[in-house]
Amino acid sequence: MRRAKLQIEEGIAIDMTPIIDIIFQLLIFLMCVTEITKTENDQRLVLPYASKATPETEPTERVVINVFPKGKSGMLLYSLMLDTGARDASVTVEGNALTWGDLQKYLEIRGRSAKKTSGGVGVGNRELVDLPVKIRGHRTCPFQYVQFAMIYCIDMSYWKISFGTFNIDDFHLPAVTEDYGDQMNAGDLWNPPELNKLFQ
Amino acid sequence: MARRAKVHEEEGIALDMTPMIDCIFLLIVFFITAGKFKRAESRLDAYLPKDIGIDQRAEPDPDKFFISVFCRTGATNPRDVIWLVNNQELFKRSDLVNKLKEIATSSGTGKKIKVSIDGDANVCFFWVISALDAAAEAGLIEIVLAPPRIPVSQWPKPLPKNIPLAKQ
Repeated sequence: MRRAKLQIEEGIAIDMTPIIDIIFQLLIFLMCVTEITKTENDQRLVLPYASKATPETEPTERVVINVFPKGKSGMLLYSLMLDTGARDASVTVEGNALTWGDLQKYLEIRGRSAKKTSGGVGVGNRELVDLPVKIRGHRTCPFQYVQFAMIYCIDMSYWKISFGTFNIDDFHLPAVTEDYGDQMNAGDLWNPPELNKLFQ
Repeated sequence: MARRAKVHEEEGIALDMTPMIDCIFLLIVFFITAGKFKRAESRLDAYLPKDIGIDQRAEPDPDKFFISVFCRTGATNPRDVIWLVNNQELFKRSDLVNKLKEIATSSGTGKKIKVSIDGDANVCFFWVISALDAAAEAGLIEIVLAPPRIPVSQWPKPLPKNIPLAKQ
């Protein structure tokens, strides 16, 4: 009788160890995969599609330049609506917005310690920087702003350029809905006629 | 007394796990809601000319066959594009790929084919990448981006230091 009373006082013992293990696993997984700090790849950018692009591997040392179009009021244009009134672009590197002059300085500083090869006669035989540069341009960004980013790369003797793209296979996924990739302005998606034209 | 002490020993020290589990759940909810998963990306390589294009002294390389692709905004719709391959207008990406293949095969052997890609200042970057992608699909590897045609007066300030600027 005494033993039975003791058991009632103790209640049913639930072993919490497995649930805590699983929760910790989840926590560690989420901490590893989510992006807390601003990294070099700005996730707000909607990149163009390409079918023959090389899959991105683990990044080696490189410079990543994000190029956004900027509207008349100076606001960044994340939407996929083409704003023909885009007056300028905003360039971000490692999460920091840079002016064109700052970009020039940044490339100069990064290039100092990088490996170099000799350049051609056209550049006065100056050394070229072998550090790769990845330019991530927004899909609707007027080309001139990407060209400006390229001008500063040429200026600072960088020549290994690549462009960031999304995989074309993503477009065919059934999960791709009208507001895919554009949370700011779902209605302004790059509309199907243009995409149909691309995939003809 | 001895019986009560034995019972305590069996039970061990009771740790209240509730606050810790609460905190962990809160952290998980935070990460799930605030986190954004990275999208898989690819890259298209295109090297800038080692000899800067603005240089006036550069002689055309006789061992190379150049194909010029120019992306222009559509006449009626600025979202549209016209690709010009050696001044021939093309409206579909598939036509662009076929044209590039055709030129590459008819150019004869022994010459390296070099594709130069250029674009209107206001053409969407999307279409320039499409041209680059089409060149890659046509099997052309050596792709170079042409220097900008935008007048130097419209370039961002400060002007580049190391580029020999052409006189306007």
